[in-house]
Amino acid sequence: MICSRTLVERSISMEQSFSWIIVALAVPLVGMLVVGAVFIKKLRESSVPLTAEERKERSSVPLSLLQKVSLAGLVLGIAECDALYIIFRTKGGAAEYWENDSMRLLVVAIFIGTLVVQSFLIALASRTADEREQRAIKAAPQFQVVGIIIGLALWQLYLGQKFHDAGTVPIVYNYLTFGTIFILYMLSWFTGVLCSNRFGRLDA
Amino acid sequence: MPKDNITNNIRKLRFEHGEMTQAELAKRVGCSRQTIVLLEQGRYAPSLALAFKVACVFDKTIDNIFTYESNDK
Repeated sequence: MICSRTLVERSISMEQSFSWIIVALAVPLVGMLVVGAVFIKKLRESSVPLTAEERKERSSVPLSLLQKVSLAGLVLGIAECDALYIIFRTKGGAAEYWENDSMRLLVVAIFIGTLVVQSFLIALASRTADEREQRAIKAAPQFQVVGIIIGLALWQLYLGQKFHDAGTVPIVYNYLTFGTIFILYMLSWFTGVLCSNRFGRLDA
Repeated sequence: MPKDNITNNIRKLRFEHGEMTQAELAKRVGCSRQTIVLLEQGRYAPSLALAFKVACVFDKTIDNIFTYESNDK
C-alpha cells in the first residue's frame, strides 16, 4: 500500500516536473525567437546589398585591432572549452572534480587564466575602438543575454533530467553552472562584437 | 523604417589631396580604416565630431563633403 502510494506520488511529481521543464524551456526559447526575429527584421531593413566592387573593397581591408582582439578572445575561449571538456572526459566527471584537488586546481587555473587574458583583451579592445566600433561593443550585451539564457536553459534541462529521481542536485553543479555561464558570457561578448561590427548598421 | 542616407565625396577628395590612402586618412581622423571604407561607401553615418575631423583634413566645411538625403516622402 505504502509502496503503491509512493509510486503514484512519484509519477505525479514526475509529470509536474516535466511540465515545469517544458514551461521553463519554452520561455527562453520564445524569448530567443522574438529577439532573433527582431534582429533579422532590423538587419533586412537597414542593409542594402553590397555591390561586387564594395564587397571586394571590404574584403581587402585588413582586420581592425578590435576585430583581431575579439577573434583572439573567441579562439582563446573555445580553446578553454576544449581543454576543460578533455579534462572532464579523461580525469572523470563532476564527482571527480569535487573530490580530486589536483583536478580542481587545474580547472580553476585554466578558468582564471583565460579570464584574466580575456579581461585584458576586452580592456584593450575598449580603449582602442573608434566611434563606430564603440557601438559594436555596446551592442555585444544583447548577444550575452541570449548566450546566458541558452546556457541556463541547457543546464536546467540537464540537471532536471539527471537528478529527477534523486530530488536534489549535488552542490558541485552550482560551481559548474556558474563557471560555464561565465565562459558563455565572455564568449558571447566576443561573438557579439564581431557580428555587430560585421553585420550591424552602427550609425552615429 | 529605412535609415536616412548621408553621402559624401571623401573618395574624390582623397585623390585630390595627393592620393591620400584610406589608412592615412583613418590615422589623421583617429578611426579604423574599416570605418573610412564604410564611410566612403555611404554605409556609415559619422558623428558630428568625426565629420568635423574629416572636414578639417581636407580644409573644407562639412556641407562641402557630406550630403544629407532624407528617405521621407
